[in-house]
Amino acid sequence: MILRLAWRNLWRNRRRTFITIAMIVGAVVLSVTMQSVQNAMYDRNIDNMVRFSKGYIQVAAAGHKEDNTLETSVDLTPELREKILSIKGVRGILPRIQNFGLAALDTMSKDVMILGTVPEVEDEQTGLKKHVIKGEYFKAEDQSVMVAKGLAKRLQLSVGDTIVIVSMGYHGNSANGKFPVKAILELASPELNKRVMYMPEALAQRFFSLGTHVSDISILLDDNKKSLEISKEMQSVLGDKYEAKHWTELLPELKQMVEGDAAGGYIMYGILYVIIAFGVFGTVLMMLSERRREFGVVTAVGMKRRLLAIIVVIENFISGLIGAVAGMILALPGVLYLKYFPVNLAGQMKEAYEKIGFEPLILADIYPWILLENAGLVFLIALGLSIYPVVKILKIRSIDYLRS
Amino acid sequence: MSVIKTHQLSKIYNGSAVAVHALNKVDLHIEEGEFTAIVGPSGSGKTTLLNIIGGLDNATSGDVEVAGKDITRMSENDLIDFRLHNIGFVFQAYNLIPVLTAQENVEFIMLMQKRDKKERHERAMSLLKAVGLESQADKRPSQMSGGQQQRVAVARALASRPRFVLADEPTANLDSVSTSNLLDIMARLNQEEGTTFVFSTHDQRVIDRARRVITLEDGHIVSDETKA
Repeated sequence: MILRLAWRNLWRNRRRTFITIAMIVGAVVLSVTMQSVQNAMYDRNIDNMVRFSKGYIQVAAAGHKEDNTLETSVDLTPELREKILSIKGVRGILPRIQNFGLAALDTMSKDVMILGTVPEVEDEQTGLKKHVIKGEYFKAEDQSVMVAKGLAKRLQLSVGDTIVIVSMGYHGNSANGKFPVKAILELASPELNKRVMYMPEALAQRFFSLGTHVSDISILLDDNKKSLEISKEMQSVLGDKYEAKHWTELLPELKQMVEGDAAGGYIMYGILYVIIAFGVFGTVLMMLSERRREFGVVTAVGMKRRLLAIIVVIENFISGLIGAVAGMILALPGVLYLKYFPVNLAGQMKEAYEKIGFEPLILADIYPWILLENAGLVFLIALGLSIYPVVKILKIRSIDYLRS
Repeated sequence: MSVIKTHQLSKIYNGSAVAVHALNKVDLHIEEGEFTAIVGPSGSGKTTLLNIIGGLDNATSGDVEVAGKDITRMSENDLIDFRLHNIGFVFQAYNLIPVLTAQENVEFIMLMQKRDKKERHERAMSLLKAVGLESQADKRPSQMSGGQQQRVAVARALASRPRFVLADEPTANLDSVSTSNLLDIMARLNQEEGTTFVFSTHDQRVIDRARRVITLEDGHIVSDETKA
């Protein structure tokens, strides 16, 4: 009968209960949507930056991170390859040569990031072939390069043009050459779009006088979410001669930017939760005021105050649970819509996003932990607001409440 | 045997301007099985006396012994438990739990006493039958008239098998037919089951049916008559 009493009490003032549940639903929908968008954008932009540049895990010779030149390149021997592939969770490897240089065409020049890579494996890792907007995707034996759209625009070049590259090779060898442009790429990351050019691995090794060396090895994983633990295991397997770095070590500025932005998001959620807490608290006060005389009557006829408090907590539990579950369900359509139909930003918003190196796209993804965490938190806030009526009820003196 | 004894019972309300002596050294004995009306003009102290002997309010001075126990020194939690097992209440405004049916309202008190389901059900139905509302058992208070609600309140007051029932102006909101019905029921329960009833009232119809009439004025008992 206690549960029945709590359930019926909940619906005795439908408007009040509806307001309470609506506020909880609103809070869950808002916070789930906001966080799903925020996380999807982080994941997308991290993925863009990481996969196209360093990889989730990068293996290089010891000291390469500080030196970051071809002098600390690594000889990719069959033994090293075997060792890396033996680690659980590693799907494959992508040897890369990364160096900086100056690209020129006619009277225009621009600093560039040269990426020497294995075309087929690169496509498998980054889906690079899909980013070709003009020309043809390169092959391992090609003597030509692919240029990112922003760089092509800056140098005013197109497919078929020949680009001159000046750089520094291994052990101080000069690296100068002319290369035909085979394709123009449109990369997701605005930052990479401005300065990247791709070269087949063999061509890059020759151009930089590297022999069989590569500057680093990007590791392909079965599950990128396990990258941190795998990077630690890899470091212990490979020993001191090599460094196995996680992307958060390789791109600390990206990590800090994401963390800084997320902190701003948490402040927003905090404000949202406080507003909701005050709203729900208002309905709790309404309930206490409406039922003051009834509380006096039931304690007068012998109901223990503790039991009365439990009934009120059950009422809050039920309304909180209904609100939290309904909020999770109602948040899904919006999140799913943004997952399958991302919104392309334009104008100043687009520029602002590009300025911080983010793809100008509003998208979302389903993260079960975001649904559960936000619904759980809002539910706990609603339930936590029971403390006030519980304290009031435990202090009831029947006569004071009967006189009201 | 006295179920209620007061000795030099006083209650002073300290208002913001002046102290009000609601009860002034009241000595009172109420015996088991009595059908007693406490009468007097408004402000004479009737409700205060009922609240104190019902363990709802504290006396300023004096002693109150109910069912052999001094209730003046009990904690609020002990008083709640004491009221549950010893006192039945009937309020002027019925005060049934609005979300429970008539039967559930009557069972509710027995649930607090941790009686088993079968016993609760049987006693609730028997009491509703006794107050003539067996057919209304599934109705909620909002679906019943004032007289019917007050009869359910009487059944609820008796459900816990209390030592006595305190009724504060039980007929104040009822028409004459409902008042007459309610008084018939309470008188029958008093005579047949020996339940002790103590009313506070202004209502002459209640006073006429009471076997003992205690009159209060300005917090003093000014007369105490037992009818033959």
